[in-house]
Amino acid sequence: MSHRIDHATSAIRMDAQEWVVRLDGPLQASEREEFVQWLRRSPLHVREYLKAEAAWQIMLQAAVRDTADVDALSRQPDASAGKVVDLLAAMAERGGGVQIASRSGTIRPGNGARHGWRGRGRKWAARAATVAAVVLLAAGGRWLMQPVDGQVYATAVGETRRISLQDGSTVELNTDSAVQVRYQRGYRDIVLLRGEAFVDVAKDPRRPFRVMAEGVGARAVGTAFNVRRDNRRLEVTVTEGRVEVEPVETASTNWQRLAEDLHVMLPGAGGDGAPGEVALVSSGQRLSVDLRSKSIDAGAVTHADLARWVGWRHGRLHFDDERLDAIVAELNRYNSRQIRLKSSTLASRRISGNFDPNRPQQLLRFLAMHGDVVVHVNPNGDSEVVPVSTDGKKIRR
Amino acid sequence: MAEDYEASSFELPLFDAMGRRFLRRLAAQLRDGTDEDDLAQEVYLRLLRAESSRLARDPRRYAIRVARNVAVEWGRLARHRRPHLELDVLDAKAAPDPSPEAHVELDQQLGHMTDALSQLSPARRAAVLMRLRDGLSYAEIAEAMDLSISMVYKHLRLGLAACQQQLESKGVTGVAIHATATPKEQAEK
Repeated sequence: MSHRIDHATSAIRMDAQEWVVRLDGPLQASEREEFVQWLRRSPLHVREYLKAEAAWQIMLQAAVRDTADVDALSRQPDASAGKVVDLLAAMAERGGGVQIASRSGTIRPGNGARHGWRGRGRKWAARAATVAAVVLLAAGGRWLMQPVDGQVYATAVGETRRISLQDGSTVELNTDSAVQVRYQRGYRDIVLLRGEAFVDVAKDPRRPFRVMAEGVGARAVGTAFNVRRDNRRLEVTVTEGRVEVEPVETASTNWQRLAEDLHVMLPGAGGDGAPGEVALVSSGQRLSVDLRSKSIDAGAVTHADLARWVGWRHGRLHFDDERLDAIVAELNRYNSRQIRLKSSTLASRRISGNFDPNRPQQLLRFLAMHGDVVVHVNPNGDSEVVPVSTDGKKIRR
Repeated sequence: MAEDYEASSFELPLFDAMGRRFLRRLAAQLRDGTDEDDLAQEVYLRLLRAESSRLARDPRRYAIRVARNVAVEWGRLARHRRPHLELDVLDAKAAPDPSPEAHVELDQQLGHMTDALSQLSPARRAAVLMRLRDGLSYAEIAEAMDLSISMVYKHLRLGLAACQQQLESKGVTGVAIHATATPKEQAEK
């Protein structure tokens, strides 16, 4: 049983151990988000986190049985028997730390006291791409050789990102989104794991380009379109050319979904599955598909206000006579500081406007201008919009 | 800050009993590098699918729960599809008590961990005990030991590193589902 691990793995392991310790203490929302981003970086991060968490649990059990007197311990000089293990740990740390530093730029300070956690976290985030690349290389053949797990690209809340793929196609990720790229011989597949992406597909008639989510696929040869999903729906908006939306494979159980995840999708799948209606969505049109029933209704294709559905690419959200709760939900996707409406009449109010998704204050100011609401900011940064009567008193719902 | 929370370490109320048991068994049963990677891969994909805001609310509990669900689902599948497989599954619901073998293994682990703890430097061991045994917060430990908080974090982190390394050198830690068919093997059938 080998316990020798390569340097990139050992760097991730140390980060995992650090996170386990930090997670056991008080954490602010921003730090929790930072952890989520770290954890979502690769399967290796997840694995090391689980291992460290398991070791922490055993350590907890052992500590509970340890009868040593803490006061007596603290009176002992630090140069005792234990040094060897400590030294090993320190060496492992130094070796791994230095190595990863030279490749990814993540410098692990020798003395934690001088560097705050927060600052370091930001540095991690900035290096995320580099580290992920290093990890993929260093994690060895295992992750790379399996045809199934292609590279994953993800964005955090409020972040957007443009990715150029090997065939010249581009993918733009909106806030809080993730895709997995699975290029194969017959197909160029992108799995939309969460959120929203705009793809500009390089023409290649022999290798169709598909964006898939939970067994529904949008297929194109050379077009540009936007795909957006949550747990219930997949929405396809086409800005250029034509896209076919079809069921890719019916996944009735977790097991099948898993197999589907872990294995290459069958080209032209759906053959023995559902009758497989196909909907054609053309430039300027939009289709929304229920991800649970996966029923594709060609009649449900509608005209799309492109500024509304694809405006995010230019940092603008256009709303035309929409319910306020829908607008707030939309803005909340982009911000960890959420807006909450504290009244149902407020929620159903309809407004039109043009907002920068990263500046929710614009909407709040817009609302406050009408004079019948006040905005409270909670200690955690969330804003509550509360209706008031014209004489300034709060209205109870 | 209103949203700060401090988990008391003593019983880790943060996890339900099943989550704790899962982690312990994970450590007890998971050893060979193949399965742990499959588990991590699936947990990873599920975490990517999760709504970020929900995940960020309590990422630790969420991640552990996802891992446990995957282990349970795979365990069921394996039992379902290949009844002849020797199963030593992490299904906390189906098998509330660890098997005798698992007990032995847990004892062994605890033994190694106890050794590792006693080999820590006195200050590090004291910090670990104050946190995990006595349930002091990091700030309280810093005050008691007259150290900076970041130094306390460092003691805990290096303490964990030393203990995890000890477990691994004894061949006990590793995350994998022992004797459970992985989806890949099954799918190949």
